[in-house]
Parts: sequence; C-alpha cells; structure tokens
Amino acid sequence: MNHPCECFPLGDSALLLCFGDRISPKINLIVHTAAKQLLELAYPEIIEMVPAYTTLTIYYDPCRIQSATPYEALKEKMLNTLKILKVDDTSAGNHVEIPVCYESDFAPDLERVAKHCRLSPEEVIDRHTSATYDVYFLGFTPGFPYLGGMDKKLTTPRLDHPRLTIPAGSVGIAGEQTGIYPLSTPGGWQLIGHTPIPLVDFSNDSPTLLKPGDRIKFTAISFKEHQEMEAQR
Amino acid sequence: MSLIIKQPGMLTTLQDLGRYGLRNLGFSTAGAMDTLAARVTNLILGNPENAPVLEFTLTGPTLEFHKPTIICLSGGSAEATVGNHFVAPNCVTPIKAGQTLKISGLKTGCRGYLGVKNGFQALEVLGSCSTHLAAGIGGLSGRALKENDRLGFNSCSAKKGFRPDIAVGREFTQYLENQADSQPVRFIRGPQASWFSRQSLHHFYSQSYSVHPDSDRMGYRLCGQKIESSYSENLITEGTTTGSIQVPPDGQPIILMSDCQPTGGYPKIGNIISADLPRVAQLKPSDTVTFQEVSVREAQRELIEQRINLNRLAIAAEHYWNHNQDEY
Repeated sequence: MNHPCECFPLGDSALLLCFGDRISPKINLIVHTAAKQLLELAYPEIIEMVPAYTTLTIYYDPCRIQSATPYEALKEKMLNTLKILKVDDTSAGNHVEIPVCYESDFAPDLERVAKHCRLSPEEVIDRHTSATYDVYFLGFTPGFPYLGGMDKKLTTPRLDHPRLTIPAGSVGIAGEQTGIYPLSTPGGWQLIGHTPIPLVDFSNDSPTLLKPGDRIKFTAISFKEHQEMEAQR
Repeated sequence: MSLIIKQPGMLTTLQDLGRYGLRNLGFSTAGAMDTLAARVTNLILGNPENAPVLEFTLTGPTLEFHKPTIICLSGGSAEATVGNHFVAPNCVTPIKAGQTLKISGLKTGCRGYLGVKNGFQALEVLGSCSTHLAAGIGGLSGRALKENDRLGFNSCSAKKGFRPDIAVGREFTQYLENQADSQPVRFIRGPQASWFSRQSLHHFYSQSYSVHPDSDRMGYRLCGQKIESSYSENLITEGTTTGSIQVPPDGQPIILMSDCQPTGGYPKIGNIISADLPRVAQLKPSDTVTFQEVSVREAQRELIEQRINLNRLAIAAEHYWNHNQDEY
C-alpha cells in the first residue's frame, strides 16, 4: 500500500522520514514496518535507525555513498524502497507481560490519581491492567518506553514538584501517558506501582527488555509476589 | 596496572568514537566530543582511530606512569610537562616508567585528549569503551576518573636518547588546517526551520551567541537574542542527532552533543555540520560563536574533505612509524 512519506535532512549524516502528523498506533505501525523493511535490506551506508511516534530517523555515513550529492541519492533510495509497504501486525514486536505491584509501599500517588480521576484505587488498577499498550519507541533514557493506549479516564497531570529520585522499576502516569522508569532518575510522574522485572541489563547484548514496536500488558501482583520475584533476580 | 591518577583534572573520562546501533533503545552514543582530536591522537600514535583515549575538560590530569609508553596530546592546547620537559601537542613523546605527566589548564579550547601507544585498556560494553555517564557503563566503571584510579596499557619503550620530533608534529598537523576559530560555525537548516519567523531566523544568522556555564557533554546552551517561533503546536517527539540545534520555548538555542538523548520534542532550527562539530566541542563557557547557513551538499563535501585529510595524516604517521621502528 502507498503511504505518504516526507524526507528532511537532519544535518549532513542523518535524515528524517515523516509518515504523519499525529500520534496514532496506525502511523506508528507504518514507522516500524518501514524500519523492519530497511533493516532486512541492510544498506551498508545506514549506521542505525531510530523510530519515534511518526518518524524514522536514518543515521548514515555520507562518505559511503558514491554520489556528488549523498543526501539526495539516499533520499531517493529511501523513498523508492518505501513506496510500497505491507503494513500489518507482523511488523509489531513481541507481547510482553509486566508484573506490577500496586500496593501502597510502591504506589505513593495512587490515592491522588484515584481522587483526581474520581475512581477508587481498585478501579485505577483495573483500568491500568486491562489495556494493551503499544511501545511507540524508546527514548529519554536507555530502555524507557513511550507507551500508547492508556485509558483516557486515568489522565492525571504531573506532580507540581518533581521528585529528585524515582526508583528504577517505578510505574507512573503523566498526563495521558503511562510509563516505567528503567533507571533511577528525577521525575514528575505520579507513581502508582513498581515492577520487580529489570528493564535494562547492560551485560546483555540485547540490553533492554522492551523493543520499539512491542506490545505490553501490566498484571497486578501482590507485595509477597513482588518480594519473591525481586529475590530471584 | 600501568599508571596511577594523581590528580584527575576536570571530568576526565575514557572515550572512543562512540557507541552506535543502540540509539533505537534510548542510548546516547557518548564518545569523544571532539572526534577529530581523538582521531588525530590515535592516528599519530599509529593506533586504530577508535582506540580509547582520555578526554579532559579545561584542566588536565596528573598521571604517574609505571610502565614505559609513548603518548600524544591533542585537542585544546594544554600546558603539559614531564619533569622539566614540555610536551608538544600532536607529537609523539616517550615516557619512562616512574615519570609523571602533568597537564595543567588549557590555554585554548575546552577539551584535551591524551592517547597512549596501543591505546588504554578498557572493557568494551555494548560495542564501545566510551564512558556513558547517565547509564554508568563503559570507560572506568562508567564514571569520570578519580584520584588513585589505575589504568592499564600495553607498554612500549623508546630507545635511550630518543627525543620527540617537533617537526613531525608540524608535518602531521598540516593535514588538519581547519577553519579559523573566529569563522562562523556552519549549519544546515533544520526540519522545523519554517516554524520560526523570518526575523528570528535572521537573528540566528546574524547575532553572536555566548556559551552558558550550564553547557556539558549533553548539550551547549547558548545565550543571545531570543528566537521567537511562530508555531502554535507542540512538536511530536522525533529523532535528534549530535549537532541538532533545538529551540525550547525560552528561545535560547541548545546544541546537542555526544551525550544527548536520541529523541527530543523541541523544534530544531538547524544542525551544525559534522566537520564543524569538533570546533563547537572546543567552546568553553562565555566564549562567543556565530553561525552561517550552508547547503547539505556543501556540508557533506566538507566532511568528505576532512576524512581525506585524516587519511593523509594516517599515511604520514604510518610512514613515520615504519621509518623509526628501530627507535622502539
């Protein structure tokens, strides 16, 4: 199928392919399909690719392109290659279940989120665990997933005063987004739970639990199960 | 163990040319800020250009060597001594076991590079030895060097009486004649350049900006005439690259550098060309800088030219090492 695709230079060693102008699972799937197709072709001039909501950034080495105008040559090649994209679910990644303990020790902001959304804490957990989330892309820190698909009813603004440190594994809500902190960093998200599963492992060649294009579900676990899983790490 | 850090200097880290292939997982590339100086250091020593080097900031380290080696200093011009002898930049200088190399403040530039023959030994993490400060990986335990840290390298000794050859240094650097520091830094128009008013673009092209003290390996914050944007929408977060010039709502541009995140939500007015990025890496707080727009074609031509010159330097260095192999 034909999908609109625009191309812009991002400096002299990267280009930006743009597939749309709004955040949607459909457009993001086109981005991952394009990335997959280009990865399979393994063009030697391409160093790496970064998908985002609506764009695919291609980092390349202009010295490896035999042309007086390397950008124009690669742009043409990209647009030709991506003229026809077979977009279906096969481009999506793995389904990953992430166990989350929503009990009070790990959920300092759950009451506040519940109050803001006019729900009970149990209803917040219910809605948070019943959705399937798309990993639109990873960014901000290694392994940090930008997720789509949160129940709009759970929308809660960020904290007025960000915390100086948020423990790695914290699950939170910020505006219409939900996410997990892979590393301990400062942040203003409303924390509603914690996962005992590590999201990054720097000793692994594939260092992040999640990949762009994956789909995830949160499953509620008890404090005791959380302790046991953490002990097994 | 081959050397001990007696004084660490400011933000001294082990860096190679960066960690590639993981930006899609949210990793910054890290790596030397002035990639040209890091390459030059290694090529002069006859090392692979990607060998780990020490990058220091404004003030250099003091190092006590316990094994003989040959060093090369490049980047910002440092006052460096071994005993009573000055160490000339872009030269090969032999060091004996027991000698101390003292690198004091930089006279020009912001970052200096120290390489040793055969490169520093560092554990490769995810395909690179570069120190990734945010993740705490690479280099030495993923952090800046501290007093009493130890670094290793394979020793290499020079024959008695061998002196560094200054002429050789000059021969090497003739391949690196770059634009003078006073010349504007060149950029290519960014994907959101049209979001800015004509007047704002004009300001960016014609005003000089000063470097804010909060600049670091993630980004250079610039202070100057506010850049007004005429857009009302927010940018949907998209890919960035080293050299991207982001303009946040306060209108003060930020140039993204080696430790930058691979994605960002601020509009990009432009991108510094790769050939000039090493010059940006040498700007220090309160330095001033001006910008000049060039085409993608010109930027790529400049980059290719720079690579050709690095190849020439590599050939000259190889010739030097072959010619002098009896000395080592």
